[in-house]
Amino acid sequence: MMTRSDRLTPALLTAPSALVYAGALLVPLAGVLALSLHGFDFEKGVLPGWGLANYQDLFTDPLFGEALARTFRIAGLTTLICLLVGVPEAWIIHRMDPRWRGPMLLVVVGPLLVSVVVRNFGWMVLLGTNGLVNQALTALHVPGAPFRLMFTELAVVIGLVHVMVPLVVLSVWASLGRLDPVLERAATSLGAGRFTVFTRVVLPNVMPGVMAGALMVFCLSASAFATPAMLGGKRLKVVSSMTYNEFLNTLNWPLGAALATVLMAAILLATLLWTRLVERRALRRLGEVAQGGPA
Amino acid sequence: MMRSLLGLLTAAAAALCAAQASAEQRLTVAGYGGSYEQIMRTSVIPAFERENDVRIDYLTGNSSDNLARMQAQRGHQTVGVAVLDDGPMVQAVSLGLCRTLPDAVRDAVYPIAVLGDDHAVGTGFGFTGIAYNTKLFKERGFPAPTSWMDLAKPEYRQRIAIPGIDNTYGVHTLAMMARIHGGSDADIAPGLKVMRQQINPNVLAYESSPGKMSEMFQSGEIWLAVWGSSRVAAMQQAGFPLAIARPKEGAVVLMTAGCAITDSPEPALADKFLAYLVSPKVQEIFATQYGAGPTNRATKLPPEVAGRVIYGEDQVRSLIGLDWDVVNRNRADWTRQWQRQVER
Amino acid sequence: MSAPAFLTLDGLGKDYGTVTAVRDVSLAVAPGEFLGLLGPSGCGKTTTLQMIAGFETPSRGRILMEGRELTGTPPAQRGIGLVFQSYALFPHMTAAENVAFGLEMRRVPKAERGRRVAEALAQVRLGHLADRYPRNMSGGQQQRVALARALVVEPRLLLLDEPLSNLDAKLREEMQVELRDLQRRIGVTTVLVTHDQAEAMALCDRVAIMQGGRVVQIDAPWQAYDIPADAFVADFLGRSNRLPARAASGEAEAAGHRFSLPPELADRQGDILLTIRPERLRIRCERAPEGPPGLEGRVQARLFLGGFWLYTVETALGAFAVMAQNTGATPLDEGAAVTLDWDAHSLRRLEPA
Repeated sequence: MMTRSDRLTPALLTAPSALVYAGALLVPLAGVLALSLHGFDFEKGVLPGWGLANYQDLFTDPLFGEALARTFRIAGLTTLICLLVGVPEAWIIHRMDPRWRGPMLLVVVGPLLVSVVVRNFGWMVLLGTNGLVNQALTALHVPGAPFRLMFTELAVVIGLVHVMVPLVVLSVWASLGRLDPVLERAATSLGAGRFTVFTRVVLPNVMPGVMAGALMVFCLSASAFATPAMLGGKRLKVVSSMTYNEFLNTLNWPLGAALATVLMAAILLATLLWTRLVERRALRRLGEVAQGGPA
Repeated sequence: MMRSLLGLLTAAAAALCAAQASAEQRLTVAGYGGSYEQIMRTSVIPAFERENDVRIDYLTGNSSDNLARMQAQRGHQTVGVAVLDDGPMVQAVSLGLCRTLPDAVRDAVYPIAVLGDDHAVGTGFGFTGIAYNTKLFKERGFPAPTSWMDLAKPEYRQRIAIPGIDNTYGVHTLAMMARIHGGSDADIAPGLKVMRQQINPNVLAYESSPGKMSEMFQSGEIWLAVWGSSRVAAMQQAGFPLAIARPKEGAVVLMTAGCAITDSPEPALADKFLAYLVSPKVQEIFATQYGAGPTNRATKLPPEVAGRVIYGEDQVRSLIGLDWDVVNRNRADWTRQWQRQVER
Repeated sequence: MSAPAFLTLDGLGKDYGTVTAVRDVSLAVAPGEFLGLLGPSGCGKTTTLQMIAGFETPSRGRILMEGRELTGTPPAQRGIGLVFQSYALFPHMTAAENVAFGLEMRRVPKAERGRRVAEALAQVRLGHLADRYPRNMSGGQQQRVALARALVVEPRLLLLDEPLSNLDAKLREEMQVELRDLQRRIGVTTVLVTHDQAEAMALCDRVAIMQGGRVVQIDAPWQAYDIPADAFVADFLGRSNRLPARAASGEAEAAGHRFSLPPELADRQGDILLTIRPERLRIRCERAPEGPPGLEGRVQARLFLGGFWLYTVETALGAFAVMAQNTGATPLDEGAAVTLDWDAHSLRRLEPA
């Protein structure tokens, strides 16, 4: 039998963090949403009236549609490559001699420790027409070299993958730590080779980590601003760079707010679909979602 | 957790500093970063602080950032004096962010340097022209650019960078393209058409950031660019073989402009600092170190400096100025068109 | 064992740097035999098992299966079935999928696979739980799935690594019977690693008792129990009482008490270490009317074990553990004066460990 104060305690204990959450996230979000419903005039600034004109503008604007498609194309491709690289990478490090694991993890996390500007400048130097990559390709007599790599979606994806892979590695790494190491031996003793052990036993059991990593990478890539701006250039517009442009250059804050709102809604929608369609199914098998299997 | 702790410490430290400095007057000046900031901090601000026994806080940001910041702080301004490009400055005036100039300041400068109906003052003349890598041009036997339409030459394919429409240099480019093809600031369509059909195929990137622009020059990625005289001067001082051509159709004037901000603390001190910025002494500093032509008519420059900058009535008159009121009014539309037609 | 050995370990050893986990293990397992590797933790039994399974590479010595050298064959190709202490069932697969895994790896056609999985599950009486996930099964059920999974591929050798130690006492006993029965029926050669002497004695045809990386004694459980090779084995297998004495002309003397030695020790002279199992001691509360006078003492503590009473009796020769059958008579009280006696042939001589 719970007393009244017993029931109140959890609420009271979570209140401070709930307040911070509300103050730091919900209130500004509501502000952005409200702002997006206003009009804008170059001379008068933000207009007092309310309406959905900004959204109507966006959804009838082919430039925005193009940017939205590009945003998701880049985020999707980045996520895919990060998974293909990061998941095996985590497993390899997991299987390493413990002496090497620490230094290896540091190497993996390395890109996260470098400022985004420095990192992207590095890629600019590497990917330029006269850059190292093209010099190497030319030296190897690759037909067609030098290629135009900078200011392409490929450059943006490369730049994003570089910094996002650690997120997949770390989240898969955490899942691997919870995996009973004997499972791999059990599978081996039943005749499975290394690859089969990985795909049939390890991978299904670290799916929660893979899914979490994928989700982080997707959301961060879809909302990334600096990397698309620096490696993609102005021609390759993504939603975040359009938002930046409206806020800081055109000073059309309401339109910028509408862009931000649409981007957020789109990411949220993609996330929900992802959890519904993929993650649920993967997690149910592992019994981490509310009792789905036979009791 | 770490961050909030850090924030707390910073706040505490700031409070402590504020308590210590409360006795003396303080003024916040917003202006460009890079070499401009360098000159301000080493050669301009210290003397003013000593003479007036005040403290100046320098806030770094490009024109649009600083304009956006002041727009956001409307009603509780912390910035006392802002230095922006002339275009954004006229916009700042029309947004009501600037106070009227003191008479002495207004009367000290050339009429072209008085902006926004006596609310802002040009502090230095620069111009927008065509910057090119002299070493590369010599090696390849290209003649130095002489016309804006040289940007359409097929041999420069994918070797040109032009700042975006968010940048004053970009606006200048579009305006000049319109003017030399029968348009005007009010009729920009011819400019957009030329940009789209003739210039765009040659453009490797539309790049507003001076850092990336100089990186692309240094790596040899680009050979020429639409850029400003002060930027080229800075690159020259760093020893890079860069020159700027004044096209025969005219180079576009680009002033750095200052104004005292409405409703900011210490208005008297702000006016004083604005006057200091256009004083012959400071004008000479910027002419020598930044390559900015003096806007103050009384400034006397030594010949070797005078040769490098816009100097004297005649040169000032030869510059093309934009009708910023018209441009700013249409800028949102320009931006829209540019993004859809040119920057693709 | 007269049959030719199925599995032979020959001078097997394993070092980790300067630490020696397995010093020198040589033994032979007959076809169909159930052998236990028994010893306290750190004795090297698990490392030995890992070497047989192929997960550890021996530092020296050989492993032969049916006369063929096994060293260098990867674990996946050794044809060995393994059951782990933690069961190691694949959490994302149902019981049937777990059991089918090994068959899939061997590319057994789907129809045959289904039949064999059903058979294997029926064999461990889990046919009705085929579609259940491990997390929804009890420890005993999981252990039986693990067993079915190891056996369905018809391994040449079954290795059991502490398979029952995660189960509670009652379930463990049931599983022992079941496991013993299953192994007999299938006839698969089996090596069990355990630290639980009762389990090893209950299950195994022979036990190899290990200490410090060596095999100290290999015998049928009852033989090892009855004639321990040394003091370590005597203590490790069940309870035992020690009796240091001086021997002279067929008799022994300790603290003034004289008693006869068994015939095989009759020619011993001088200091001798004797041992006797608690159940071989007789305990009485009155002096025997005739025969040897017996050893007098006092009951210090008593434990009721159901079928038995376990008394601790303090005597002039030290404390003795005495196991007395529960015959329904009133038990002896703590503090009661008692007399212990025994038959001379119950005494065993020990090499000091």
